[in-house]
Amino acid sequence: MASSTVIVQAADLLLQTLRVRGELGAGELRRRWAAVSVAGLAELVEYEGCALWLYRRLKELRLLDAAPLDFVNWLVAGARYLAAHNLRVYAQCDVIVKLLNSYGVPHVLLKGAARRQALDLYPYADARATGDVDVLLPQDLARPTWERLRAAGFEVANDAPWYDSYFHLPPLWNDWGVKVELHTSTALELLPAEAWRRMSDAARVIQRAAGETRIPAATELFWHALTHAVQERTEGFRIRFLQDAAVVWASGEEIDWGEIVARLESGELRDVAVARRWLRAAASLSGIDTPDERLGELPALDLCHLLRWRVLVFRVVGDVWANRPVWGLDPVSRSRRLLIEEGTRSALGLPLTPPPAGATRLTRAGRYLAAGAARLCYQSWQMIRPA
Amino acid sequence: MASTEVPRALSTTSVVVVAKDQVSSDLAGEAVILSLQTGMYYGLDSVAAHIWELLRTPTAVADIRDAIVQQYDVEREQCERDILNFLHQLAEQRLIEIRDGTDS
Repeated sequence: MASSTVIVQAADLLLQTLRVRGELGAGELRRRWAAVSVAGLAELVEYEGCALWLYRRLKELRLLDAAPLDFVNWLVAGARYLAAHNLRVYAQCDVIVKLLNSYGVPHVLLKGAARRQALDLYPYADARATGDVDVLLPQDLARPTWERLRAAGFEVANDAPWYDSYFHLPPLWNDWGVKVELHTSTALELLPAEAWRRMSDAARVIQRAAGETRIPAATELFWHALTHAVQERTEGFRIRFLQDAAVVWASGEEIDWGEIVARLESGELRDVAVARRWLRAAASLSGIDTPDERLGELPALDLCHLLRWRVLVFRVVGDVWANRPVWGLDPVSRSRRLLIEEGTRSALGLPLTPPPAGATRLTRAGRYLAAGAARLCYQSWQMIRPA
Repeated sequence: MASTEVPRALSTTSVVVVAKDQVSSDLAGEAVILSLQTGMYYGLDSVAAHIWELLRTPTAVADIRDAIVQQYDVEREQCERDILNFLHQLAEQRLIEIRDGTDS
């Protein structure tokens, strides 16, 4: 029982530390970091994609010396690696902005490229890994611009046929190794003209050494965070996705909640119930207890509870099979992720993880059996977990 | 006139500024720098990151020294030596440009 109590502290403490509008002061956080068992926490932080954010919070709260040394050493190395990795993306972003300006092509930066330009408004908006450069263009300019970038030395990174009807053109890259995605929209369900209108109207103009660029207003950053996360289904309930909305929410910048509600009710999203649960989780991460009343009663989703399950999975499985990579393809790593996936799906009221399309009957049966076993583990834990 | 060559006599009258071919990021008071020329990464501790911030606009070495002496408990002469040494290292990695103080 003692170990269960410690596990609860680790998951809770992660959340309490990350919250920009946290309820705990630095003194109380220090006391808890000094007492916490961090078994499974490094794996959880990696799974959640929040190493950079956690490092910055601990450093800024002057708590790095309070946490266990091995964990801190791991965290510092991970955060520096991510910060360095992001620089490659930012450098590529500057190259693209410069080229687009030289072509006279209007554009709006999206996702990580946009977040980096908005740190004055949204603290910690850049405190996560960014993988590529996403930029939205007017639909009629996207393909000609893509061709001009090809002529400028960029090569096609992935030319899958489904890009023909996708909301961004096939990714490009150059010898810098960072992909560039020219978007015509921000979601499959959203018409390009509407996407451009939303993102460019009220966009914030940013002056860079590479020239002028624009980033979406708070409402659109928030909405895009939501739509991007729910596209990822249960993966979107990881902290790195929730963070994108939570930092905007916590900043106090004005969000047009009437517009958000209208879009939720418009049928634009395929699964509004999941979206509303995601909003509840993002509110929890931002430390906002009472979301805007126009959102109505958001369905319950205990983010802390999900994190407790995840850290327990990493801890228990790690006790038996140590040093398995979080994102490994070996059976142990995959089983761990299935346990987490089923916990999230159960909390969201979703059915078992479906087998991949085209799987044989035997594979389908095996996948359902594994998912069912994972679900059973989660539900058993729910019955015996400490309050 | 800007130069990426390492000067033989970097002095307190020299004016220094971050090079164009780099991108950097704040990491909770530290700094991470990526040289676009070499693809090499560099990490700076909090004091060095403070100097790096000062270098975002062309600044005389003497002004950097004064700013650091004012903020940290360090002797002026020691501070000057350390800063010149640090700036030499940055210049060797082509992370800063050095201008003759008379140009500024």
